[in-house]
Amino acid sequence: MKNSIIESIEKIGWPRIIIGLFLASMFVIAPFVGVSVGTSISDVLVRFTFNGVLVLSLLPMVKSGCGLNFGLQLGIISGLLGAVTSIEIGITGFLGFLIAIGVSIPFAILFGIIYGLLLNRVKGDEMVVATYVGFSVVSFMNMMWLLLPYKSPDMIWGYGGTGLRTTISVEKYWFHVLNDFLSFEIGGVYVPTGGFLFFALMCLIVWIFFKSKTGTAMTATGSNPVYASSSGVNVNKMRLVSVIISSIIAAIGILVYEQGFGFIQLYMAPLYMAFPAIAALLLGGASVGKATIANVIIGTFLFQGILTMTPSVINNIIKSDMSETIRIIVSNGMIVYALTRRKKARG
Amino acid sequence: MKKWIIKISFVAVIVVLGVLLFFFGRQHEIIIEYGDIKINETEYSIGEELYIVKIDSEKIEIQNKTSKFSRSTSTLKTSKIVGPNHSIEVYKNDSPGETIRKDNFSVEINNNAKINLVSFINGFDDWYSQKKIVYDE
Amino acid sequence: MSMSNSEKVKKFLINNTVPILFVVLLFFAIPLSGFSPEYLANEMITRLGRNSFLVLALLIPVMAGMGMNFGIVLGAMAGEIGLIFITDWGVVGINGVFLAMIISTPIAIILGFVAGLILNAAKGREMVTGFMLGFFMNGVYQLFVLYGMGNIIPINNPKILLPRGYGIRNAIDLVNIRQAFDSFIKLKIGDISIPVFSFIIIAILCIFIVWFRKTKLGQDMRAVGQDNDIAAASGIAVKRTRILSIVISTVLACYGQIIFLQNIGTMNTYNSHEQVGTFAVAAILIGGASVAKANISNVFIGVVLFHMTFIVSPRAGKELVGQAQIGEHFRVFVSYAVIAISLALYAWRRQAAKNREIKAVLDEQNEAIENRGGSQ
Repeated sequence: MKNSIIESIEKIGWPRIIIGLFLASMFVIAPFVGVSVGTSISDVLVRFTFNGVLVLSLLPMVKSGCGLNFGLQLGIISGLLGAVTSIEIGITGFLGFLIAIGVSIPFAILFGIIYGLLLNRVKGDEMVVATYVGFSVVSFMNMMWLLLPYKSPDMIWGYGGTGLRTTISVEKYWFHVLNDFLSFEIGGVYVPTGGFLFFALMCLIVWIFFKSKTGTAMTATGSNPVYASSSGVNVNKMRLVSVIISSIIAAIGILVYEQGFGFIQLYMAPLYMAFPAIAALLLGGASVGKATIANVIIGTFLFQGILTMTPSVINNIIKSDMSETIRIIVSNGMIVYALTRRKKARG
Repeated sequence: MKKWIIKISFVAVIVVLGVLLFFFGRQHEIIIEYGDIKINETEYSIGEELYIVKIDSEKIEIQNKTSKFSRSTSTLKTSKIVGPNHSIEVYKNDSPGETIRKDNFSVEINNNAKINLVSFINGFDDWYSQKKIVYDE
Repeated sequence: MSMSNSEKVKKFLINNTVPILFVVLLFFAIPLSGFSPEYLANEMITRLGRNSFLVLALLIPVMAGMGMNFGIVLGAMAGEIGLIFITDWGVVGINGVFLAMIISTPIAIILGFVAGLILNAAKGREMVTGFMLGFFMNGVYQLFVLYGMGNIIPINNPKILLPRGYGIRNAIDLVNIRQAFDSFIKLKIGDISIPVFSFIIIAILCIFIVWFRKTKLGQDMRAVGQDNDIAAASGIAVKRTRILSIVISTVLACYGQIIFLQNIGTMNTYNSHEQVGTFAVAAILIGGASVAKANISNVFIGVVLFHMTFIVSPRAGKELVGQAQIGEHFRVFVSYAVIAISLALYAWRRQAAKNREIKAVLDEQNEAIENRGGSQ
């Protein structure tokens, strides 16, 4: 009996249990310190729909054995290019959002190919190389945002300035196009149906993809590259495809984030965006070499839950904002933990 | 065993060094008071002359406000000193060679120093006092 | 074994691609920026005194085969904690700097030890783990400094405490120890002032590193760096040696950060350490080091080239495209890109070597099979 409890705990994983209990206790304490549970749940749901797709984008690369995508910024940059181009064209509403996706996909494919070819040459060191490739691309784009010939007055610096602003509002264009679709309120809880539907659609596409022939070959590549290659799978090609898919989903992911958040953030904003997404995936039970869609969903929910609940609840208890510190410790601690686990898991 | 003794004594030396650095490196505030004082019915003052108070090697100029337009009535000057042992020397500005009085004083680790200049130049003994360091909010 | 001259030149060029590229870059950027030689020399000397110690802290983990120690951020945090204490106590001048070093040494040792344990658990992923560890410990540092200090740990000086009564302010004025090291022994040649004492300390560290390579521990580290298994087989405690290399590096980084901050004179309590790892690693890589090989000359060449790029690029950017901002973004880009490229090149070369090895083994086997087939 005792053993089976320990076993099941180990199966779920200590970090998840600790974070899960922490989150549950937050919800229990919330009403007592004057935080509305309804609002909190709505916040968690809304944030879930912002971030879910970004977390999902990590999945293909983990599955193909490329590890955690510390270079998520490449996909994000493609998405940002799509977003600013769409605003430059000036079409509003859902169509504008689709145009943003449409523009960003070719960029994502292009960046994905270059990035994937590079990662194929640095096997075993993908993560550290990817981190700095991501940083380099973000800082390179800092120059580009200043130099690219965008003209829309909603995006460039006012009088006399050149280049794009650091934050660009999408309010006039495609603010909440997904989240407000079929959304409803029930018992004080706002449910962003459209956001969930879109996330579900993305998950479904990924799920179907991994049931396809290419998808299974990709999974085989990740779990045992030597075996995969001896059974006729082109390992490098599979890895390359996974990187491209990851980049495309990341590009879509950042657009989903922006339509919910309301702003396009340029310049240094995307620099550290890979870490929270990775932490969420790991929190959901994934490891450096293994991840499922369930991990994505659970992880995003737990992570966003913590991010939403800690500021409101803790602030009310100790009257100071510790949320940023807790966020840093939880998300980066999770990543460090996962990095140290890898070798042991393989024996 | 011998290795451990060496290690422990090394750590001890470092700790002692740290304590010494603390004692000899701590900064104290020194307040020089030069307002008029009254001892045994006699008034003492520094008048209107410019005095130079030399603490260690730092020279501080002290003079009563002569201008009648000056609204400041402060008769305090503050400076900083480092470590426990210090010397003080006072002379008038126009005669740098002729020292009025020279003495030494020491300040305890948690204290600030206070010097009453009028008392000092008139040869009294109670020119020096110490006060615990407090941080005003 | 004698090489022809052209081969030697070729090898030199291949081994020093990165520094040569930077020399070429600077060759165009310096005249463009229009800075006077005196100004540049002055800046270079200041920056050598300020940054070299931190970069030197990277050398020992490379020796032990652990790559670039991005975890020197931890040492920097330890150093900052020491500086907070001496500022609170009002210990000033060179005494203050030394006392800060003494206080932060045990903290750095503990942090280094923990980092070593974690990096041992993450063998093969040391760099990315060290990097993430820096981020993680930044959170712990915040918890300690922003919530613990003035609460649990007594801090009294209202100049460094937040108005709410606990937690340290964002910026601390280190006026009491500003350039205490640099001006301890003063020397001025023309318009160029030289921080002699800082250079003496850096020289002592260089001598220490040269000496350390020859000690038993240093030899062990090199053996571990060459091959873990062979080292273990010859009776070296591999894990312990690796931990020690990280401890030494963390303690050195802690001193390095103190020297850095006493020169700068103000400390951003929550940001000063953030970029320490990236900038130090970028500098040593620009100096021609690789993940597996780094020496003292790489450090100094790297600091000069990296900081020269840092100084001239905003002005050069302004002259070139009319926006100083471009140059500023450019120098950030350079520091990230040089790390990305160097790490990628190293991993690439290693993978290529591994593939060649596998191919050679396979060829040998095939040959053996063919020979057997032929003899039958």
